[in-house]
Amino acid sequence: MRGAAAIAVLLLALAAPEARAQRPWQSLTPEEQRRAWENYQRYQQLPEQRQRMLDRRYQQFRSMPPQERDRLRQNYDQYRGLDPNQRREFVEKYQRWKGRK
Amino acid sequence: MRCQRAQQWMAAAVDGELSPRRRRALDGHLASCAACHGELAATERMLTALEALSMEAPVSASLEQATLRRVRLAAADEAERVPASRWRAWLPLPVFALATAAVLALAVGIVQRTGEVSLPAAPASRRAPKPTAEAAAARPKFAPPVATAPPPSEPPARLAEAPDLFMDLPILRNMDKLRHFEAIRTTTLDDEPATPDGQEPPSNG
Amino acid sequence: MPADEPAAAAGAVPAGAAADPDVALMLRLQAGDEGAFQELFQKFSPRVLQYTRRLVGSEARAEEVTQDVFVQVFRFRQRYRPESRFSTWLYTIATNLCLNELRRPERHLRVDLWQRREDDDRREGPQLPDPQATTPEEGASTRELARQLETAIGELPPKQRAALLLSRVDGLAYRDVANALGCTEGAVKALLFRATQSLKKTLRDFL
Repeated sequence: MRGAAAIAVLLLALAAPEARAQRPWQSLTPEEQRRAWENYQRYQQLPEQRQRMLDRRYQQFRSMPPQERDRLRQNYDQYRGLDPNQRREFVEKYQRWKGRK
Repeated sequence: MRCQRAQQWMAAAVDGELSPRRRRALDGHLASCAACHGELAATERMLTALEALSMEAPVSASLEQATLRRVRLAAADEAERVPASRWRAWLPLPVFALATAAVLALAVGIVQRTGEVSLPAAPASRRAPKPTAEAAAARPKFAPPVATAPPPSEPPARLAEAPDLFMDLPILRNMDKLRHFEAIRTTTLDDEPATPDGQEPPSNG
Repeated sequence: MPADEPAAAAGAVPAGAAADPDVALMLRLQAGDEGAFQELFQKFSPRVLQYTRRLVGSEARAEEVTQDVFVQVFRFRQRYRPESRFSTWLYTIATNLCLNELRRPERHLRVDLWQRREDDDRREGPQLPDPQATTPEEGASTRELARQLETAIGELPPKQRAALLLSRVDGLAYRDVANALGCTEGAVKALLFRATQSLKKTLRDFL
């Protein structure tokens, strides 16, 4: 039974072809390691419920097609490029957009 | 000039901010429109009354004490989370002594487990030197203080098993916004004028 | 929260900012000086309290929100950038907290601070003579206008109310009001236009 369960888990993992393999820590550049480490510390300070939510979103993100992940990264680059006024206006529009959904 | 345009310019006229050309145009309209002439006077009285409203309210000693109490609790909370915090000065002595004892006990525990000395950095003195402008400016905006030590060569297990999660954390945090980025950007805000700045705002009745 | 904001450009504190006493206090606060916080509180809390009273419309809640404002000033002190005026940053925090407070579901039953009551004359404390008045009747008229104005302000939609208070009472520039409200200067002007038109209509008999 346990062997069957293990095979099922393996099959499920293989059945998600778009799930990206994790890069090992040592393969990250120093800048990537620094960024991941800082975000990890902030993650640790979050309430557990919020951590679980981010974990779920991570699973969703991993299962997206590569083009979709790239699209989100490009959108994030644009978002980061907004000046403070544009950022606030965007957030206000987001709240308005959510209300209309 | 129509009355609607004249009314839009009245506040600026009262403030003396109209350009000479616009002021002449407004004066020309007021000379022949009694209603707008009265409206300008009412605008002036109202803006004067607004600016005469008091800017300040008396703050009670209890409000001040309650605020300081909350801030000191926040400082103590920070000091527990970030041992190299500079907020020693904020803590009442007994609380600081307890916090120090707790940190030392933890350090002793670490030494006993690992055999290595790993005491936290000594807290800075009360009159710490001001941070350099470069250091202050280089801190990311909207980020709480985190320890600035470099990443460990052997990361914690959680970080090691999913480093991409933490690299992409900002994207995950903003995922909904990023998935619908273009739709959100093209959303209109009702309070915004439909026309560019300086032109007539939409009529509201 | 994760580091998802762009790092601020490195550079010296602007010369004008360095000379600003409020900026100097914030820099001291960032460096860990408790005395700086107390100075900022004593200087700005009366203005923040008056602003929150008018914006949220409740004395009790205004005191709590005022506390929240200064706790946030402390907690997020490292986010403050000396390129902008401290008062602008402070009013941005206060406005966000007040607007959040007004959005809370239980606020629909909020006590109206500015509810018209026949025997209510406590809004601004003791009635002081109007130094501009040439007659007692004129002074009384001015005070009555002020009372009615306070009530009418309380009846404005929240963002119009905030824009009006920040611009006309607290004297912030349009750019700074826009920062505090998270909108454009054009939107601020539109809010102010609507607010002043509403007030003039409400106060027609007193103007």
